[in-house]
Amino acid sequence: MDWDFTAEQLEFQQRVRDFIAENNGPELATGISYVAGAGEDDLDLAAAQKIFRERLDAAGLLRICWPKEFGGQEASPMYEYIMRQELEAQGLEPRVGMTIISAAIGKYGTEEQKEEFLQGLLSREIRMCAGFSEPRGGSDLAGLETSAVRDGDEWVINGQKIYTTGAERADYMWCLARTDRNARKHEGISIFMVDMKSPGVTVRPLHTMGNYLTAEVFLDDVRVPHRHLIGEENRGWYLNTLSLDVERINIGAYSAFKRFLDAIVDFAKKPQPNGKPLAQDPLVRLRLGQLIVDIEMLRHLSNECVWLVMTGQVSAMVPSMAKVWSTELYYRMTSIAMQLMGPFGQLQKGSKWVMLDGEVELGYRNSPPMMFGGGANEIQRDIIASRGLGLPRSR
Amino acid sequence: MVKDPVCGKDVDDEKVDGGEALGVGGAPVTNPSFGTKRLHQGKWYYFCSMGCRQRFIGNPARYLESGEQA
Repeated sequence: MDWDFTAEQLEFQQRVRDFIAENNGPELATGISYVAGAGEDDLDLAAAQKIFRERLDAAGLLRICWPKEFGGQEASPMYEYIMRQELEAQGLEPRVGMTIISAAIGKYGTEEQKEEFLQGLLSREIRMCAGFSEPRGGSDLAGLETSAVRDGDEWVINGQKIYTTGAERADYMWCLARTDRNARKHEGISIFMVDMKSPGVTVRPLHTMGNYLTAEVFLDDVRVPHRHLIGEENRGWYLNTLSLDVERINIGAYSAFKRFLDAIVDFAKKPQPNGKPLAQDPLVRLRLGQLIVDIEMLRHLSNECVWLVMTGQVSAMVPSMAKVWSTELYYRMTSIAMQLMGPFGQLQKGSKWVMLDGEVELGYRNSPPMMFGGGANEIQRDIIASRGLGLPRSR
Repeated sequence: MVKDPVCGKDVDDEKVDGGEALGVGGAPVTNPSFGTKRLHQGKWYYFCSMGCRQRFIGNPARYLESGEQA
């Protein structure tokens, strides 16, 4: 059993580390760790990310997994995984690689769609939002009710989406809509690129307990040209699922978690006002010791997710396990850090006495949504039960 | 102006429908305090809050009998 990267992968890892060492200046500072949810709506952050991507591109690192026709190398997703972990380890923005949407259009889009969208999506010049969840659907994505009806060379979309983060700044929505009401619920769904400037689109912001906005989006007789139907009609569910390989390499930000834990450990080692470090407290030691066990578990689950993608294996169970474990671990980490810091843990970034740059406070507020976003953890556990343990489907 | 079918309050449907300003991406962005709406069996229904809408989603028939919007 070989647990290490290959020689080529280690060489690539070193290239990324060298890049970070040369480029990690204040102009690339993305604020508090992105894991804590910082900067989702920050236009300065978007500008910093643009500079960051340009430098990555100049260093030959941005297009590692891109298609060759766009200057990419079509390398294995493992390279993006390595780069992501290295960036996260330094608190840098890791969302620089392929996305589900660019991967899906690359795989299933028409030549016209690739020409129209792919370059902009890969470079993030085209900003997207994901039109998945709906108010009545709850955690059951396939229960979506938004409809699309063909009318000549156009589709007319009616319905609404909820928790559509980034809708107010998006150029397009990746919109799942029902195109055959008589089909079974996973069938009869199609995917559209909806121009957010189309008449009939309205965005209603929703403020979260974290410091970012999400939104409802109303779609009222929105007309979408047929050429913006992605892939085959009524096969949107499967198209979306098949593109999830890209998502799977992104599950579990263990490098970011390790960085956060290192900061907590440094804090615990420092003398408190009574002259003693918290690290001498047996209960604190037990909790911190448990956190590194949990992070190591996450590292193995994340590695297994990538290994499955690399070896062409399909497993719904392991990515579900990684999602449950990583989101609940972050909740545990921020809760423990909040308790260690006492009242100081509640101070926000910018406060005079803030500790760890406010990451604890922000992360604590943003950790609960992670447990139900991107497929609620209860749904993930149900998937583990049925596909991992072979239990019959629930009623 | 229409009545919220759940609580009976007045909701300004034109304000809910009309964006106050354009978002960065070009979509009209409405003020959340105006209320919200839901498409039910081909018709939009307007609500003063997400709480009222959620109750409507749970049992639309109960509220449509007494609070059908004009």
